[in-house]
Amino acid sequence: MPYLGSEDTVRELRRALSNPNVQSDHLRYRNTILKVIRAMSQGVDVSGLFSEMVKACATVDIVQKKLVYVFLCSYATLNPELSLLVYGFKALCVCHIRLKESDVWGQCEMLRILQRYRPQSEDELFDILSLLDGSLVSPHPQVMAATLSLFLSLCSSLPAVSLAALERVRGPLLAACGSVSREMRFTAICHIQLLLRSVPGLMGAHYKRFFCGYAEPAYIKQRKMQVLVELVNDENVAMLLDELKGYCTDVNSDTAQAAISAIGRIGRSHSDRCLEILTGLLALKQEHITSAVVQTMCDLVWVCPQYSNTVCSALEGCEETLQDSQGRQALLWLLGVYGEQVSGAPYTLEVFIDGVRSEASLGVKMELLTTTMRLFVCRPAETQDMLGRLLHYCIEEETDMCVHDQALLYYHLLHCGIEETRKVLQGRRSDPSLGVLIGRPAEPISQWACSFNTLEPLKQCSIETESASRGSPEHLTCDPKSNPDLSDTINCSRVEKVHSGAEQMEVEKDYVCLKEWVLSTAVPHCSTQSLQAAMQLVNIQTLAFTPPHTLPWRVYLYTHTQHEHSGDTPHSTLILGELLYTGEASQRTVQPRDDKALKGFLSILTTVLYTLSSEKN
Amino acid sequence: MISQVFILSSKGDHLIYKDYRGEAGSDVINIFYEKVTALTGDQPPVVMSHKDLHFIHVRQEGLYWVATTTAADSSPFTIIEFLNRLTALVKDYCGSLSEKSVQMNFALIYELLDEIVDYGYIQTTSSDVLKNFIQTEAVSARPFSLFDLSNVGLFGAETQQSKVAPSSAATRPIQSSREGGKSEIFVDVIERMSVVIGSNGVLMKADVEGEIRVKCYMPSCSEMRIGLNEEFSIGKSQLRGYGAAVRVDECSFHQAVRLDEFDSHRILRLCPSQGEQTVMQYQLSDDLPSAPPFRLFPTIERDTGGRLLMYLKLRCDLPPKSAAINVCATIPVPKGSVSLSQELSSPDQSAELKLQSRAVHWMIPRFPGGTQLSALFKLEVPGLSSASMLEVGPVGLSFELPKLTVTGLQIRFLRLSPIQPGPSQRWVRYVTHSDSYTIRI
Repeated sequence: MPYLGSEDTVRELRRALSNPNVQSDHLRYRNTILKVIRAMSQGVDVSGLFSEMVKACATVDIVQKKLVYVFLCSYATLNPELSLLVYGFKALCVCHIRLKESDVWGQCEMLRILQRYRPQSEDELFDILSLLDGSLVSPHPQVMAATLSLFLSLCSSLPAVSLAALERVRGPLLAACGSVSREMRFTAICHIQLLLRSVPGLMGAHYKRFFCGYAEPAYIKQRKMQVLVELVNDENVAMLLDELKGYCTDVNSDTAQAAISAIGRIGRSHSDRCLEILTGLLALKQEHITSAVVQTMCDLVWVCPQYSNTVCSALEGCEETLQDSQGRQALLWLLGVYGEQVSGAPYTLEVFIDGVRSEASLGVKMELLTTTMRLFVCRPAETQDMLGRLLHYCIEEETDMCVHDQALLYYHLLHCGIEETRKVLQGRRSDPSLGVLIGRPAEPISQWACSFNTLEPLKQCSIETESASRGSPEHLTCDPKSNPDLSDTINCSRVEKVHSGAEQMEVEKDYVCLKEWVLSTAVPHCSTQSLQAAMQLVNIQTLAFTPPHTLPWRVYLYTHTQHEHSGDTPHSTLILGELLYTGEASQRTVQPRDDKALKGFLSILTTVLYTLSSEKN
Repeated sequence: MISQVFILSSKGDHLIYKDYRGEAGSDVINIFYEKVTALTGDQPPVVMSHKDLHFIHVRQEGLYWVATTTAADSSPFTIIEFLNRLTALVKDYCGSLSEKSVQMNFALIYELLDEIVDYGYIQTTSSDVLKNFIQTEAVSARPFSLFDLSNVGLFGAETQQSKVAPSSAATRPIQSSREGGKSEIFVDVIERMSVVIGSNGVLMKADVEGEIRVKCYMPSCSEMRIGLNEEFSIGKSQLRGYGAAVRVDECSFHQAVRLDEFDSHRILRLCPSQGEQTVMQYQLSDDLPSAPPFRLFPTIERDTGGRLLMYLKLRCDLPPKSAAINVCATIPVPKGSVSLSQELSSPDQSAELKLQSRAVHWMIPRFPGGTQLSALFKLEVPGLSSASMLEVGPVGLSFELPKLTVTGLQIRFLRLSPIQPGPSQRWVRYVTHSDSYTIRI
């Protein structure tokens, strides 16, 4: 081979690559590509041959294909700017023409590489989009997913176009949900959950596709139920509840419990029928079902206090069936808060107190203390004696410091007088006048677009399920239950809990409670919609609020952050906030200690409030 | 990008291990097995992580087919489809999919793995391309059986049976056609139905997922034309022909299928690759052309002795010439059920109480269309309460409907060109499976 400068080499190679005679002869074509690779490895800049090489990729000759991949990979990763920006559009068109001819794996790789390309003009963007349109409805789910992913990254500034793309992939995604491969079904369902975060109504008409098959594995059933809860509306609610009711007696207890809590979630908007089903299930007197029902009722009644009567009358007698600690904790919480309405509450408590010595669960003991205190406040005559016994045991004999300290705290509290005790213990009641936000607000697509078609949505991660149920008041209910009193009474304190027992693992929980004064008098007069919209812009979710122009005016908020730690478990911060307006506005937060996140939250929140005030003025 | 691929038996034995990128050691196999066996029932097993390594796996025939990757932004669709495709290839090449066949054909599988992925990038999974590279012969895991001989006609005469392909015919390695093996092509129309019938007998949901699968054992087949029913229509608005409409909601085709004759004559043209491929997929929702195949009429009550009585009448509404086979009705019963006594309407049926799954399984080997069967089950349930009745049902039915498609899709003809030299056989098979057939009580 005569010596040539690199430009000449490239020109020579390009001529050879585009020569139809070469292209039609397998061996010559492959040899020419070999020359390109050889030149590349000798350090000649052959990036100028990108589009020719992309064309060469469309072949059944596997050796040639491998060679082209070598080329593509080195230029796409080492020199993406050059290979994609300079030749991007040309490459795109070529790619697309060839997309149909190259096999599906090549297409997926190509679509992935193209994600790094940014079109220079809107015209170019729309040309590309219309070229990609066909692959959006590809029967191969991997091509469909890669195309949608590319679509969303190209259209990040064009929400309407992205939404249209989501509509287009509905069919192929639903088809993947019915795939023979259960793993593919699961993948599709997890991705549908992402789509629903932005377009809650996307699958509304197809809710039956998410009914569980009786032979499906539990993990698929659970995801399907999560989707079903999202799809509920006035027309399908009866049908959906009938279906879910059938799952409540599933032989797999995880499935049964998931079905029960799904019914509870629906109960927030369609309560009558749900409560009827839940109460009916209690009659089965089965451990895991009763436990799930009591926990679900506990969550439901926090959100809808108007159903406390129904719930309380259903509770009678179910303590005999409850075995696990979560279920008993939920029952105790209910007895504490609605003790006045449950005639047998003191007797139930007495059974618990008599058995406190053999009680293994820390959570149950803590809850028992609080419940007995609460019941004492409203029914002192019946409870005084047993409270004395419980406090005595906890202070004198209990080895767990957490229970011991809590008991001591209550003991001292009682010394401050009944009024003081009542103030502390009954501070945390849900306010029936709070309007709950039913259904969750649509999130912008950009919130999840980057995790579409990655492994993220398939992972079992509590954060994921939390964000999948945004706008639900679940987070608010768990916190006050697990630690209802300390956060109220001790500001800026640090409480460490060491769980012992079955888990054999140390879990440390940090709580901080802060008060911050914000001067923005106009906020309580804003419409709830504008407040909600403003908060959502900065990713703060509103949980519940009092109607405007009432005093004291309150809004509950939450947001969460997540950091990847070196270990397996991600570290996350949940910030709960209460906006309180009593003539002057104040705001408090309860959260694990994470100063950076907290500062950020406060400054953002303050900015939002000021912005709203200034708009109002 | 795929870092490693490995195959484990259900007991955790290492069957196959292939490292593509040297990013992690082979010790991760044991870590995977520990993780996957430690999962509780509700935790999704499909994707699991250990440090920076992610495991994605599918389960087929009791085996774990695992791919690992270090890139969290890998496409799960791609990797899962790849693993499914790998299982299909192994099945094509080894004839069947089992722990034994994987063990016996490890060399062949390594050769496959070498060709289909390069440095973590998927190259091809097309058996047409692969046939040029795969040299190892498959070892058949199936023992020789005298039943295979029963289809051979005396002195080559056509017997009644020789018109029906033996069921084992489609489970042989594709390479066997290379050395003058029988040149055959199978076209399967497979439908899966997913049905919910309410307690009042009303059809609540009826979905059908169907596909046309071609399995080709022809060394040289240039083109095949598959003719579907002329009245086949797609979507709600379009109606064709005079006969009973055969309609589906959505339909998609393999990219190798040419559709130039599809609009006018409902003909699919393609050049089938060696092995199995799905040439067409379709779905139909909520609009079955005929009545659902099974109806149940249950009477459930407590008798005076505190026993649970279940009188079930099951009717098969298929056309009289058809029959369902391997029908199994699963009836969930109250917790604490101890024993079962039964009266079944014919001796070939059987029923038993499975305590672990808390259900009565009622098995019917063959169930002709237009007939009705009944069963009386008496269950001993200590402490049976009226609330326990809630636990009875919904009834799940699993079955197979051979020679039948619920959508009515038929193959009119199957033509190969050029005309195959020597003896070649074309088979068309229809079958409908129950994906999930639930009847509420």
